[in-house]
Amino acid sequence: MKPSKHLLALFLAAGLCLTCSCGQQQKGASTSGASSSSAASSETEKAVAESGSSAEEGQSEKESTSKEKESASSLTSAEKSSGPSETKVAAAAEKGKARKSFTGTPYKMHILGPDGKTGKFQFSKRDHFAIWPKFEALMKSYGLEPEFEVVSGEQYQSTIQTRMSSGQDLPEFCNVGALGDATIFKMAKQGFILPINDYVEKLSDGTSKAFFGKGGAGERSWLLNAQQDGKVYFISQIQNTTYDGKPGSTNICMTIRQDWLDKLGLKVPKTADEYYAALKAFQEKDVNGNGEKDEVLSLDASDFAGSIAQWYGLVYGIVNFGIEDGKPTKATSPWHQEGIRPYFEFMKKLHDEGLLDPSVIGSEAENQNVQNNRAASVSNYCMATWDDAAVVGADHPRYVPLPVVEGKKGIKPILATEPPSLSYGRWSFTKQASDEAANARLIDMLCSDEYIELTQWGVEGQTFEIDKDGKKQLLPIALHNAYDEAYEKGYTIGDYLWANGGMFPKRRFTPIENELNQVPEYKRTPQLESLSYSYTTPIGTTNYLPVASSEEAERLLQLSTDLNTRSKELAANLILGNESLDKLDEAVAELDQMGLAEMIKITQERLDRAIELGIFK
Amino acid sequence: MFRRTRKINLDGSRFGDILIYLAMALVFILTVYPVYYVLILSVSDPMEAATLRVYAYPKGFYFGAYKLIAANPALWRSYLYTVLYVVSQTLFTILTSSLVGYVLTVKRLIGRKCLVLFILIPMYIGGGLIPTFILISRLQLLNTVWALILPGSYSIWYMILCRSYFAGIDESLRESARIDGAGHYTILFRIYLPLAKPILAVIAIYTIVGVWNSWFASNVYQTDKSIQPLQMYLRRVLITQELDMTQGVSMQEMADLARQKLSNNQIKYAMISFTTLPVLLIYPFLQKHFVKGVMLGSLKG
Repeated sequence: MKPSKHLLALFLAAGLCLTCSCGQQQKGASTSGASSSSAASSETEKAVAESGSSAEEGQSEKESTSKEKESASSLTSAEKSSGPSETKVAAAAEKGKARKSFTGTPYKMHILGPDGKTGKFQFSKRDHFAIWPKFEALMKSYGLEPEFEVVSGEQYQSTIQTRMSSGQDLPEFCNVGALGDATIFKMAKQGFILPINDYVEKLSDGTSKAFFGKGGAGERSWLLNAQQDGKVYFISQIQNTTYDGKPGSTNICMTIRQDWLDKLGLKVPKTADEYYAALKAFQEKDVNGNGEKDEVLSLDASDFAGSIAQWYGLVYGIVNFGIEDGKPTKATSPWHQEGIRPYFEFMKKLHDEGLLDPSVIGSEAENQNVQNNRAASVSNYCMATWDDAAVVGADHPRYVPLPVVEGKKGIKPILATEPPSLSYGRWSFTKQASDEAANARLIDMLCSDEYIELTQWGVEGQTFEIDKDGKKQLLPIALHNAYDEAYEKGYTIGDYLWANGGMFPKRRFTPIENELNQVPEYKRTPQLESLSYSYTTPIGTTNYLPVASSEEAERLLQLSTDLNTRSKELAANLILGNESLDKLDEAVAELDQMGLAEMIKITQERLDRAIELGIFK
Repeated sequence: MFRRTRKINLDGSRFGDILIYLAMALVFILTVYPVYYVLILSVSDPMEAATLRVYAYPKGFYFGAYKLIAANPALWRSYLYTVLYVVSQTLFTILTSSLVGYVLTVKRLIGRKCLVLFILIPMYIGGGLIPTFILISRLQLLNTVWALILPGSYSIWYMILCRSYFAGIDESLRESARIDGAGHYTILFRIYLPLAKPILAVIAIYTIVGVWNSWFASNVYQTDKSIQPLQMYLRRVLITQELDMTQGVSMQEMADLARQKLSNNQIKYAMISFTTLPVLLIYPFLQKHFVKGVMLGSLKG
């Protein structure tokens, strides 16, 4: 192969294998509240057509605003964090469906957000894409004509922090996730960030009220975002995935080189001892054939986020909880769990025998070993295929997932699972957003079927089609492996362009079967095995725990930095042998004193609130 | 019984020279090798570059990454703006430093000591990020080139440096020029500045290097990518957006991150070389003045 083709080949290989985030055939959104059916599509077109004549009709914005307020006030009185009630939600949903396009002068709202991070699908290049005029028309039909200020992703955090701290050049609506909850609540207390309750409960045309209300796709997100006094200061990205019609999602697990196992005639390990034996054999037999004993486990084991910790029943991260048959266990820390000692004994053994690469502990260099064809085993999502694509210098490298591995007899392994209902990221209105009716219209738009359709599916005929059964299917051009072609044609789904952590929140409602159908057999079977395993620990507690109160958020912020640093340092030292396992109890007591015990207590209190709110129902 | 101890005297000995040369060679390697390493990675075969198994010389030759970045108009625009910021800030800094430095050496100036104190206070006690941001914002300079040029047009430290240097110039020169009818501007521009080339070279090179490598001010004051300097562009390429997996992001976002990391690898090496070389090339031309200026400036400052 000519050198000039190498880079291209690398990109193509990566692209071909990165199919896991979107199924090729997304067979319709089955999750409640996200029934983005073909009717929604025609509604969009209707709304778009109507919006064209909105300016000519010349009704003043004031008139429409007062009408909206009038109709909204009849919908509900102030409701607390339980969200809008069921009957009112049904009525609201009807009103939302009967919505007419806004007929006044569209409101020019200053919106600030980061540029996208999905390849070439940058929000700053939005005019290049065929979907953009449709989205603009949708916003216009809600009486909005935003003035966007796009900041590149890596610059966004400092931009939003500086503006919020100085109170200068504030946008009206923006992505505030980078501030962190403690700062958001501080800003809210000072009046810089506005509560959104009234926009949803009083001023909505019914759409957002139905979406966030009982039975709506956003109900859970609303409950999680509500403070204890019922105030909600932000909306979030929402992704609901199902398996076999019930909530279900993928998980993180250890993976091992299947092609190397095959070469040595070994079976996929089921226990920690078999795993150790396989790693040992890889090195002794120089399975990568480079003449060096450099086949290693490439895992940063300092944060309990690599899956070997879960073989010993340890929860994910420094403080977390387990979920057994849908019910949460008590909040805890891996440092307090029974499996902590055998876990470190095992990791130390791997390190002492040269099977664990110490240079990746506490660093982000895990991927380098994969590229160098040295990583015998890595941690990743069960269905992820990007590691396979990254290996250089091997024929058909395959990382096969090890879903449930028993670390020690008597200790039940736990699976680190992506919550099937994701609610993450924060978008808020600032004190500059003085037009409450426009704010309500924006939230309605972000909860509408039309928005969900454009975001998740894109444009019919360009990025999706409707099959014989009336179900939507993404066309191949909307998938990762067709990024370049899609960019050339100017086709994309809204998720890549404006969502995915960017300008507006994501809405994604999809059965996991779509992804399962796309991944190779050696990824699918272990994933199915994982799906039937009922003892899990969530990747990210925020998807289960209601937001911390201002005081809790402040305290967590104060505790977490030093605690995380010491926890990582201690874990690394125990593995490398710089600190003795004999003194583990003293070290854990020190962590407790630094605030670990308090962190667990706060997490447990939030967990109790989650149970009370019915998050685990 | 006393044993006679031999004292090793390295002054002027061949052994001492060898030791010094060895130490300097080590420093040279430690300094130059990282630059060289990035350079050879940027021109190596992408496959080899991805594995980082390139140590002494490029493995295979591939200039695709350079072609890719050279064909990017956004990069050239950033280059242009960097040149604008470097030239304007260097000229303004030299001008303000020499003007203030000269004024502060005029002994007849009323309240000179108070003026020096007044200038020194903000050098030690800065306003901080947020007050400065508020000032720039209120001046309507956000997202303009002036947000970088104006605050970068003066440096109190360089003013003091100039003042110290000018103070070393014989006062009789000024007096005789005045007798010949020269005003302050003539004295400054025709007598003092030609004599102050070394210190001006020091200020110039420090400013050039400082502005060339700076990104923070642009990061705070400019969100408009079209007027950002080169270093912001480089930063964007180098910093792949990192996701904290413990915060519960989706697998979809992880896939995008992985893809981005893969495709950025070799381009970033080429970018580093592309943006660093010009400023490295300036050094030899100013070195003659630079060494002298540093010595004089440091002794008198």
